[in-house]
Amino acid sequence: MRSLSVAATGMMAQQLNVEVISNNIANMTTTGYKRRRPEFQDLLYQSERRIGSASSEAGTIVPAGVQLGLGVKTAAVYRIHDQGNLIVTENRFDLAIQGEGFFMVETPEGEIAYTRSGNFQLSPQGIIVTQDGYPLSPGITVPANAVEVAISQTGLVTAKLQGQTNLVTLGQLELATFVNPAGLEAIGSNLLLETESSGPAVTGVPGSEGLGTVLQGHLESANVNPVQEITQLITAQRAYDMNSKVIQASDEMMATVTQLR
Amino acid sequence: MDTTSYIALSRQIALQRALGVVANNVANLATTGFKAQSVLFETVLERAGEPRTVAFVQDVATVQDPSPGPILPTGAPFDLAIQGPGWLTVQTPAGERYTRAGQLLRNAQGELVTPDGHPVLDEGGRPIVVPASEGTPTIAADGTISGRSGVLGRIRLVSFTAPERLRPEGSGLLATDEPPIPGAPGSLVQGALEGSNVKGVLEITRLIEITRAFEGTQKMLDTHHELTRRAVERLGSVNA
Repeated sequence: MRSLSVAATGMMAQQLNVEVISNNIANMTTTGYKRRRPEFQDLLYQSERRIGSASSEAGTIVPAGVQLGLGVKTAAVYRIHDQGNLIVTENRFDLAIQGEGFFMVETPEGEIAYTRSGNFQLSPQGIIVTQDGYPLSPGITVPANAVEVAISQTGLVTAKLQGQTNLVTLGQLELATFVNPAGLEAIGSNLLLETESSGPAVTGVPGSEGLGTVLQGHLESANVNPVQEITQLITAQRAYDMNSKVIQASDEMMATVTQLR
Repeated sequence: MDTTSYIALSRQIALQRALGVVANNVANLATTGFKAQSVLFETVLERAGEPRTVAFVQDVATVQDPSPGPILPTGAPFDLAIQGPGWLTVQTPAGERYTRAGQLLRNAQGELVTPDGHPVLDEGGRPIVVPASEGTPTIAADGTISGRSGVLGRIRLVSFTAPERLRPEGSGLLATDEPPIPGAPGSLVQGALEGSNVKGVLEITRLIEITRAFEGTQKMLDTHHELTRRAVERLGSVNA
């Protein structure tokens, strides 16, 4: 019976839908998190009677044939990269990107990973690192005798050293953009990796063409909208219910058949 | 001879297929741009000796419900919902296909593509390229895409004289032998998607209808069977 397997694909799709929603809600307060959305597509169709096939020798044709769909499939779970809200933290190494772009971070494997999560800290050596201790790339070291560290909107890191009046330039922050940021591979811990579908990273100074600016003392919150997620959760659950009803109905029909004498 | 059983059988086969269609609609409750289908039944007449006629049932067509689905805001810059009649043109290896599922992405070359990686075509029939340097472009209601440096192109929206002849091929794509008419009356909404137009309540009532009709037919078959059995018993009895 076709309807059984069709409804099963529907249930599986809704289950995945709920999984994605639960991950979004779980990451509602994750700095720099971008919400995900599953995209569903209809599966194959079986032609029982082809559209446009001849219905007589006089050349009349079938206007709309019999096409039976075989269910649903998940085409993609894609990230939506719209801006999250900026929250003031007043922590000097908390950085938020306003606009497009990613911070670059060097992983222990020597790869460059990309992130929107700008809650940086200092390592014992004074290097600006992520919460996992991975250094920012290009690396910036803050000397121990620095009293104040200022990071401009264009990413210039300057410091006032103890006993000095002039500001010292410590380095320049750089951001990376991609043609298709949705194509970046998420590896957890807020980190993303470049893939063939994201295209190569284009790096530059914040505020230059196509790149956002950096705000010191701010963090970008997750762009998850709880109201939207909850309404989606309700529709997903109802859709799951309905699919199970179809399975029940198919089962009842099969039971009727087995009673045939 | 046993026409009753065969009529009932034709009904049951048709109902099973109808259930398949309902199942597919329900499975696609959350599919972008999906159009609900329904089955049309027709009687197939056969003369069974004058003056009686018997009518078998056959499902002759699955028809798409052309009503628009709800416009759901997603916030993604390349999500396009089509308001009113109109289809996007997609270049697939098998030729041009049409879709109302406007969930587009940019590939590494900057081309606008469907989730399967097939490029969406512009007015001139070429893929639309939006380089990264253009930032997040604005897509106007008529399909004009503009980035930082100005107008980048215009997305083609087509319509058809007989949209009911569009064949669904899966993955949201539709095929037809009919030539598309450029300049569809529909308009595009950026940052939103057209949801499935399947109505849950309607499908569940259909589901009940189908199961009840199936049971009813089964009852008829049983009664018929019972009659035949009794006839054989009585007529075959030696004492009769």
